[in-house]
Amino acid sequence: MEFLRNTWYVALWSQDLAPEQMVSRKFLNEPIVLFRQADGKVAALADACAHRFSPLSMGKIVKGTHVRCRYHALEYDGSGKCVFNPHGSGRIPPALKVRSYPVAEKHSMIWIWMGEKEADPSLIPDFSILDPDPKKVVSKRDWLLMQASYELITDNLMDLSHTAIMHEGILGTEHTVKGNVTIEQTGTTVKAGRSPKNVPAPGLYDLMYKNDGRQVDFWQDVRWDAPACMIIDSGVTDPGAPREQGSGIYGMHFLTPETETTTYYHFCAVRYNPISWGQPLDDEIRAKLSDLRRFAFEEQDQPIIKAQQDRIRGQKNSAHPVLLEIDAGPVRYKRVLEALIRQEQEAATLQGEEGRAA
Amino acid sequence: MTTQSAIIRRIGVEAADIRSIELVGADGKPLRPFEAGAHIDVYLGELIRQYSLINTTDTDGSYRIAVKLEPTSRGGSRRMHALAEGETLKIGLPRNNFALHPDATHSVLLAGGIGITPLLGMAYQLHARGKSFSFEYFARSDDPVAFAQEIRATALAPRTRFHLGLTGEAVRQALETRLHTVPRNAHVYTCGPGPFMQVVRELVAAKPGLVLHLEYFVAEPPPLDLTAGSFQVKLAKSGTTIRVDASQTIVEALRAAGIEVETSCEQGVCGTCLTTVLAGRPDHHDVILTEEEQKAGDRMLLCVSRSLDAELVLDL
Repeated sequence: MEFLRNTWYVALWSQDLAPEQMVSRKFLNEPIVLFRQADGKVAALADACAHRFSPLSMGKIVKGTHVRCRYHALEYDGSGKCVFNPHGSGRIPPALKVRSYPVAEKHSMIWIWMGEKEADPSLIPDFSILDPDPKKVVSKRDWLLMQASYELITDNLMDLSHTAIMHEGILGTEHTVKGNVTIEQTGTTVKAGRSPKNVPAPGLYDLMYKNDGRQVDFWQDVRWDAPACMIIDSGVTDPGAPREQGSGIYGMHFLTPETETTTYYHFCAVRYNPISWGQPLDDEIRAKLSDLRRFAFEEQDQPIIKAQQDRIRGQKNSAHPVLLEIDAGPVRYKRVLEALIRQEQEAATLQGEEGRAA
Repeated sequence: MTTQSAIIRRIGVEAADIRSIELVGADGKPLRPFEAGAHIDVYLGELIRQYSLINTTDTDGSYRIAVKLEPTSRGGSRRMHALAEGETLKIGLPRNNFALHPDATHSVLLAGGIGITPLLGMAYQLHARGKSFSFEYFARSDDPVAFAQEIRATALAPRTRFHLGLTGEAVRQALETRLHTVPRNAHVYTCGPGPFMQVVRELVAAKPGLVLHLEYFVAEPPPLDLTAGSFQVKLAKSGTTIRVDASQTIVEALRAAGIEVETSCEQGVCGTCLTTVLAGRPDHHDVILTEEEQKAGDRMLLCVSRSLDAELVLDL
C-alpha cells in the first residue's frame, strides 16, 4: 500500500502538545518526534538521533527550544540541525542533522506534511468550524490508535448506512437503514449524503433535539478531503421542516496512518444549532456526546473493521468486494485518492529520470 | 452480384396489419435458392430492411415474405405496405443465421407473434423433408392471427398448436409444459418479441441437452421510442446490434443475446463493466464517474446507464 505523501495529515490536537512537551508518533511508518518550543512553535523531527539512532523522544527539551538526545546529549533545534555537541572539540559536522517535517497549526490541530514537495498551508482543507469560539459547543477533542487501516476506516465513514446497524440506538435505528445515497464531487472533494425521512430520532440525536422520541427527518452528509479528513454533517429536524430548524452535529474525523494496518483517529463533534436545557444538563449532554461517540468508534467500529482487515489479509488472492448502492461514497473517494497517489508517484518517477539524465 | 431484381407476384392480407408478399425473378429465372430460416435485404431507396423467407425453397424459385405495419414505422413497413402487385423490387441474396440443424432428431419451433415468419418456412421445410418436429405458435387473439388459416389448411395442421390470447405467466406455463415433453436432445428454434424469447431462453437453460437457436426478429429496425426508453447498442468488434428494451439494462440485453459482460455490483457503483463508447451519447446513471467524465461521454457503465441517442456504438 502506498500512501499519499505530499499532503497534510493531522498529527495531534493542538491541546495535546503543551509548551516544552514532546510526543512520539509514527506516521506512514516513519518515527517522528513532535515538540512544542517555549514560544509555542511546533516542530516535528525524525525520531532518531543522527549519531547512533536512539530515539530523540527519549530525551528532553532543553533551553526551551532544543531536543537533547538521552544517549550522548547532542542537541537539535526545530529545523533538525544539531546545534550542540558536548564532546571533544564540540565540532558539529554538517551531516549531523535529522529530517524535519513541515508542520502547521490550524483549526485547533497540528498538521504535518510528509512529502518532499514544498508544504503549502493553504492546502489544508477548511475546518474553520473547529476554530476556537467560546460560543460553540464542542465535544472532547479526542483520539485513539485504531487497529485498522485508514482506508477501511474511511470506507466505514463514507458509507454511513452502517450507523443504522453498527450503532443502532445511538447514531441510527432500524428505521434509518434506508436512505437515498447522493454523491457529489468538486475538484478532489467528495460529498456523500443520505437522508432517511420521517423516522424515530436515533438516541444521540433525540438527546440533542427534543428528547421526546418523536419522528424526524434525519440526514448524514459526509465531506471527504484527501488524504482522510472528513466532516459528517448529521442532524434531525421535524418531518418536512428545513434543516436550519433542526439540531445536529458536525462530526470531525481525521485519519492518519501509523502503519498500513494501524491508524491515528482524531475526532470530535461540534454541535449545530445547540438547544440549551440549562445546566447541569448541557454539560451532561456534552459529556454524553463525547463518551457515546468514542464508544461507537472504539467499541463498535474498531472490532469489526479490525476483524474485516484480518480476513482481507488472510486471503491468498486479493479479494474483490461485491459492492452495493451504499458504496457510492467509498468508491468515489477511493478513485480520487488512488489518482492522487498515482500522480504523485508518476511525478516522482519523472523527477528521478530527469535527475539521472542530468 | 449481391442483389437480385424481383417482381411482386402477389400480395396477401394475412392479418389487419400484416401483408405477405410473393416475389419472383424479374428476368423470369428462379430467385437464388435458400434454406429455411434465411432472410433477404429489401432495398427501399435509402432504406434497407430485412425480412425472413417464409416459403420453402423446394417450390418454384419464388420468395415469400411478410411485413407487419408498425404504428411507429420510420418508413420501412409503411412503404412495404404501399407496394402493389407487379412492382419491381431490388433485393439481396438470401442469408441465413438461423438454419435448421441437419442432424436434429426432433425440432421444436416456438413462434411469438410476427416471429412466425422464419419458423413457418422451417415448418414447411421440416415437413417436406419428413423430419420430426412440433410447432407452437403464440399470438394475441384480439387480432386475426396471421397464417392461421393457411396452417390449418395444410399438412402443418396436425403438428401445430395455437396458443392464443395468453398473458405473461400463462405463456411461460404453456412453454414449460411443451418443453417438458420434448426429447432430451431436441433442437429448439424461437423467434418473437424480446420478453417471449427471454422466457424461452430461461426454460431451455433449465433443461440441459436441448439446443437453442434464436432469431432476433426485426421486421424493421425496432421503432425506437426514446421517450419510452428503448435504444440499440452496436458492438464494434463483432458488428452485432442489440436492442435494449425500456425494461432492460444494456447488460441484460447483451446477456439475452448470449454476450457476457463482466459485472459485479450491477448498480453503477463498482466500475467493473466500464466500457468505452465509440459513438452516441450515453445517458449516465452511475455514481462512480465524475461529472466531467460523464460529460466527456467516452466511457459508460453498462449495468445502469442508457442512451440519449437511438444507437450507441460500444468497444465490445
